[in-house]
Amino acid sequence: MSSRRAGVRLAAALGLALVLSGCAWSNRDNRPVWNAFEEHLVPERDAAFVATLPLTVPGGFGAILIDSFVVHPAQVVDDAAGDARDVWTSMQWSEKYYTELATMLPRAVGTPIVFVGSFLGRSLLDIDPHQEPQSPAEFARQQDERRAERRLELQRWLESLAADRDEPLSPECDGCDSWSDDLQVGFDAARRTANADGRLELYQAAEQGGWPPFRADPTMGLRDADPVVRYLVLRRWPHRESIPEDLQRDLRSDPSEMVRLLARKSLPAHD
Amino acid sequence: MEILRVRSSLAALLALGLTGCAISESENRRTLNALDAHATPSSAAARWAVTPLALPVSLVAAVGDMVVVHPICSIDDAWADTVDALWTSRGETRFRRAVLLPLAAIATPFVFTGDLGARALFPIDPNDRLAP
Repeated sequence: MSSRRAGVRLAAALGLALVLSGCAWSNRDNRPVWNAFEEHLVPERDAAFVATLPLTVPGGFGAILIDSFVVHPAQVVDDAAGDARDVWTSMQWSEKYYTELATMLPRAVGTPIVFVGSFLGRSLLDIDPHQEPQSPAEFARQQDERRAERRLELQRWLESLAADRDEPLSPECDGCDSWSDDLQVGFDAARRTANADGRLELYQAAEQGGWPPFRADPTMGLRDADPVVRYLVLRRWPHRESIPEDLQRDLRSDPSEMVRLLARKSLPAHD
Repeated sequence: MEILRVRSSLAALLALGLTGCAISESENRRTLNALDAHATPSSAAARWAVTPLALPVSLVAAVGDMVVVHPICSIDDAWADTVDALWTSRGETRFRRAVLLPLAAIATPFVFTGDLGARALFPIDPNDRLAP
């Protein structure tokens, strides 16, 4: 009687494990035996496909079992070991000597628990592979690379404006965090040769990103050659105090009637 | 009798394990932080050399932080929480305050003890009134 009960319990546990490992199995990368079986042993032609079903269906179940209980668990041993290794990373012996010493015992006790928990979790569920923690030097290198990429992309955008090809600017470049001489040259060239629409975009991007040329001369858009650009820049101007008095006067007597009217309304002369 | 001893040992271990949660927060490891700041040997060789002495010291400091220092330092936060919860007026009428006064008095030791226990076991932010 008790052996029968034990058998039922074992079957229930296996069934539960199989159902849970279905989560891991849902990812194609986690079922190499099934993939190989399906690719090489299941016939493509209809007649052969149907005729071999009595053999391929049990074979498919076998592949599921082997993937779930042998191959995928073997695949995740390294990841589980990586998770367990993480327990021992980021130790700062020179700054936190006593704290690190005090945590040795919990770390030693926790390592096998983390390994087993991670191994079971990764065997049953579809969890992303373990990634080694990034060293500060690696992080700084990646940041530098990203910054250089953004500079390059911004440079290309400025060139496209200067050449009258209006390419979209990546939102990541809006807040360009490192300006360079090349970018300054590109910015000046775009300001000189871009069409009116491009110049308006340039002023807006420079304002949003707080680019150095904008910080040096925030009113450049109000002195643009095109009256529509001047009008649109003035319309979204936040506060009049930041516009020099002589420029306010010029705008109030602008050759374009629309600019003139807007300037007289938003920048009234002090009597 | 034996079962009782095993149970109380397990409960003590569990409580100690849980207080480990509280000192996972750097601010709650006052003794260990003080040792780290003032008694860490500067060279790696010296650190290795003093390890046989420093290991038990660090364990005693960690247990001291868990069992003594952090709970004592949490008393004022627990009291401030209790005052906030039971003794701070939120615009109630005078009559309502008078009716609730005995209940607040009865609840005070329970709220204070529960709050102190939770603060001793888990990393909980300081009471806003006492936070720097």
